[in-house]
Amino acid sequence: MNPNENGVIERARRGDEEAFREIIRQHEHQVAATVIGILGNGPEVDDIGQETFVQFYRSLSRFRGDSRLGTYLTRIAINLSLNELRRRKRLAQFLEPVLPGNANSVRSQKERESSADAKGLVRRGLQSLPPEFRTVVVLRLINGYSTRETADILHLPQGTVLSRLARGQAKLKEIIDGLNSQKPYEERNGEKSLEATVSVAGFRS
Amino acid sequence: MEKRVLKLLYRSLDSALKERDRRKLDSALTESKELRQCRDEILSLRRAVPEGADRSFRAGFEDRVMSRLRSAPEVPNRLEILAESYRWILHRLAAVSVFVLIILIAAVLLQDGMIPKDAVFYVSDTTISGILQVPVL
Repeated sequence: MNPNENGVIERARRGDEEAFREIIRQHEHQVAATVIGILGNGPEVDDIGQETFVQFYRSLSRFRGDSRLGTYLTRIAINLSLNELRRRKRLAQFLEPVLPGNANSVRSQKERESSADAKGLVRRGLQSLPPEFRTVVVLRLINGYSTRETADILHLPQGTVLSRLARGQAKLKEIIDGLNSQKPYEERNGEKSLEATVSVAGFRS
Repeated sequence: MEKRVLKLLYRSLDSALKERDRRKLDSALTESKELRQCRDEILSLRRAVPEGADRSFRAGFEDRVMSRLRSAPEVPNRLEILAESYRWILHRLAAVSVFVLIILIAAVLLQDGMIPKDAVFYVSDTTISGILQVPVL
């Protein structure tokens, strides 16, 4: 932990509100990338982001600085996001027999909106990845952690992280290829941004 | 495309390969146009993922966190959590005990029509007579 970070944490521990605000400002984007990367940009991500900092605040007295503050916050964000995914899964299982039509129509509307641009296509592909692959892809490719740091955060062996990364990227490529080929012909030919991504990403249209 | 080579290709992007594996991959890349195309696709994908990522919450996030901290109740310390757990367990034990007691009283009433005074005070004739009949050595 660098001395500057240490100083801010120490001030926050003593109840200095401005110091805690500084921590939020410094790490908000990192936490946002993690939470939104795992959950997609839904209404609950803000709540999960807030809870990440609230949980950190409550554990300030126990934070010994063994890991970097960013890593510590990412770990909290990952745990909360995975809990949210489990909650969603339970809710979906509960609602599926009752509202299959509604759920599908809402989803397809969102999917249409989300895949309207090239970035949306990548985002949607990421959201379609199974969570165990999504977490490693988010930590390594979006947050830029090394494979060792990713392994530490997820409490996994480095070999597992490497194999999940490889399988995750292969699956992601497959999903995006699939999504891309599902788009209507006019949409595929008419959107410059999508064409650009297809050529940038090297995906066959 | 050989699966092993593809695995090496993915691995090479996130960790250092052993010299032998590195040579094998390099030679496969030189020979196969398909593999080179695949590598370019993977590299483009790896660039597209972070570019497409959202990295911000709604404006005013910092204030929302602070306001949540102010409104959230203080977290109890470990001793309080322990005391609360004991309280929780004791409440349930008391409830179960009362329930068992009611069942026992009901059973006795149903069987005998009344509860003998001895049973209430936990003293029985047998016990008393037994005590009295103990031979003195």
